[in-house]
Amino acid sequence: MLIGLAFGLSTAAYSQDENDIPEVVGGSVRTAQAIAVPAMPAAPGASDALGRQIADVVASDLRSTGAFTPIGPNGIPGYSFPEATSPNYGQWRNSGVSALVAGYVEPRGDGRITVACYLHDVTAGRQLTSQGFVVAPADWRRAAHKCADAIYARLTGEQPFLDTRIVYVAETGPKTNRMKRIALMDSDGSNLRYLTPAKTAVTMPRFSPRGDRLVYTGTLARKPRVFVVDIASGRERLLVPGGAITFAPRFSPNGRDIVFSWANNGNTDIYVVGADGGSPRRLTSAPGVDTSPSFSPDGRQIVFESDRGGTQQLYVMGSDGSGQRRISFGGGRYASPVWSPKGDQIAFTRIAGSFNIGVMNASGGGMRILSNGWQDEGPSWAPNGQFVLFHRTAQGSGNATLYAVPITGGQPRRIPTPQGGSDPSWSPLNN
Amino acid sequence: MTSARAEWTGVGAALIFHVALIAALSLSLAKLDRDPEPPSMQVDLVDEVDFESAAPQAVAEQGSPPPQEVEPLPEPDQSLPTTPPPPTPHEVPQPTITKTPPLPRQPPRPVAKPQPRVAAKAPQRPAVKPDKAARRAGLGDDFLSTLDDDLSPRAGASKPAAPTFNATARASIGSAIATQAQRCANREPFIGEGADQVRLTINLQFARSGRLSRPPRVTAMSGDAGLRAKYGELLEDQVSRIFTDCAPFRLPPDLYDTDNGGWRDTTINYRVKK
Repeated sequence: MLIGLAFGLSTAAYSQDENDIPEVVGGSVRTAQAIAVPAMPAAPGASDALGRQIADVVASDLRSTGAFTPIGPNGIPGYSFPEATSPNYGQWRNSGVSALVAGYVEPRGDGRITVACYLHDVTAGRQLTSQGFVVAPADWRRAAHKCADAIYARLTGEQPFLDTRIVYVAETGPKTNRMKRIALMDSDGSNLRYLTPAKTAVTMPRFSPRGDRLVYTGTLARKPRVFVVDIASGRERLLVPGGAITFAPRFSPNGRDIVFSWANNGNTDIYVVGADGGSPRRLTSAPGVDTSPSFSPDGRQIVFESDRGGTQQLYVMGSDGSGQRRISFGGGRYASPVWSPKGDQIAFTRIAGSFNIGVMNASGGGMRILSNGWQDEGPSWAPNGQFVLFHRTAQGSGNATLYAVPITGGQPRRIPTPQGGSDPSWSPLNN
Repeated sequence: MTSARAEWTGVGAALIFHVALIAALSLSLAKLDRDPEPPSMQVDLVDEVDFESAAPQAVAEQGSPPPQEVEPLPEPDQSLPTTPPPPTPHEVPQPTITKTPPLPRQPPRPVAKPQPRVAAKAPQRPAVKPDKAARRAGLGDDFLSTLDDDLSPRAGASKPAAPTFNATARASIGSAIATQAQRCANREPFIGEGADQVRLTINLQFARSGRLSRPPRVTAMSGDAGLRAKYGELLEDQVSRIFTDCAPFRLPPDLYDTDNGGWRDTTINYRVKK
């Protein structure tokens, strides 16, 4: 009997072992990944300095994501052309980095340059990705941003977002006579240019889905009016002709419509109109101020703020105005909602003593406050949905500056601007 | 009166006999060869467990039982090659699989835990001669006790039976690989929200050196489709790093590739912490 019992146990153990595959559990080390970004070698005919400048931009971009600690290009050795594709993995491994960004700059016969970009896993000793970008020599920064995007996407699994632009309201002059202009720059603050002359009231510039046009609120005859601007040509036109007071515009996801607020006879409601003109359609009619509309990425819903219930709160409705319902119930007031690119979350400004940026589930609930400044407002999503851009006004200063905060939490990062900035909007990814 | 005399006579006789006994014992002890004290044993403290024994090599010691009391172990098979097999690309020849006389076999590895060797189980053995069983081990007693009895060296046997990669051995090897890989896995970074819900089943092909002979191959992936698409490649990257960084894996050479399997072809599961 004992023998039989032992045999049975042995058989059971055998079959269990057969199915018991050993498991290795990876860590969750939450520190920025060390990544080497040496100066890229330049082929004859290309500037040696250019390889270092490109590496500088790549390193800066990667640092701005918060996911990496770039090493170089200063203070680390360079490498030869062949080593871009076949680096000495042991050497880099010993330097304490886990990844290496390599590449080169090579002139082309047509006057443009090729910027090659390789990402190596130095621990595993293998190449993870490679891309090449052909640009005009003056556009080398875009090639660097593209290279950084390729590395960010490969190492994080997220969509790229670094080769983008930011539009915002540049503010100069004293508080009593503040002059405002629509400013456009790369996401790292470079290539700044102004799209409008200095005015006293310019707010809420927003990109079209393709990034080729803007809508913003300016003034005409001392009344707020919505304008549409073609970025390349600088031409602009009124969205709604006549004397209507219009503001808070935003494009639909397909770029064919623009949703905005229209103040009329003491009531402010939300309307939608074709981006190229046409007759506006009214979507809300409740007493009070309905404003700051934002489409869901599928274009089927619109989130907006309204004080119809007595205080500013967030509401969602169908894109035809149907099924309006409140989604914010957390105490305090809620303003300037923006639907995330993935459609699962809504960013907002919460007013409860101070102004803070937060996110909540698209259906309401799951609220998280991301910033802790005295006055943080005007959120705008990065195109990959991983960061929220906003402007912060320090207590007593009256001067606003731009910040970006990761939605997973962490400290907001200052976005460099040469002067004060407010109402930022992140562009879609450049083509 | 008569009884008192007899009592004194008895006491005197007892004294004489005691003196004689003490004298005799003193003389006999003075002539005994006293064995010297055995030298103190040096113990190396290490922080990792390994199949490779780091125990000091057993040597003949004075005071040990006479050699004839220990059954002699078979001599190494001199007909086998004494040079390592030609290395395959990216492999490091493993000296432990050669048939060179292994005394001293190799210096104790600083990372290995001292374990009594199978062949050197009895420290009083005059000398340990290598045989296949001893070489197989690089293994500790605990590991061998989990294997079939047939794997243990038999008294009087000239050669041990061929190693069997049975379920128990497979489990032990799997556990050893997971344990050795975990040190590198712990260094892997957080990937992203939801990555912990994806699990990979990975096929690993090892060379005898304990290094991968080809990149890890994903044979199955479970989890939400979106999360798999987003994180699958990153998880695969982590597995590749872990099994490169922690190589060579120290595993029993004779279980590398047996008639019924071996650690040459290994399957593991991989996931990340939440």
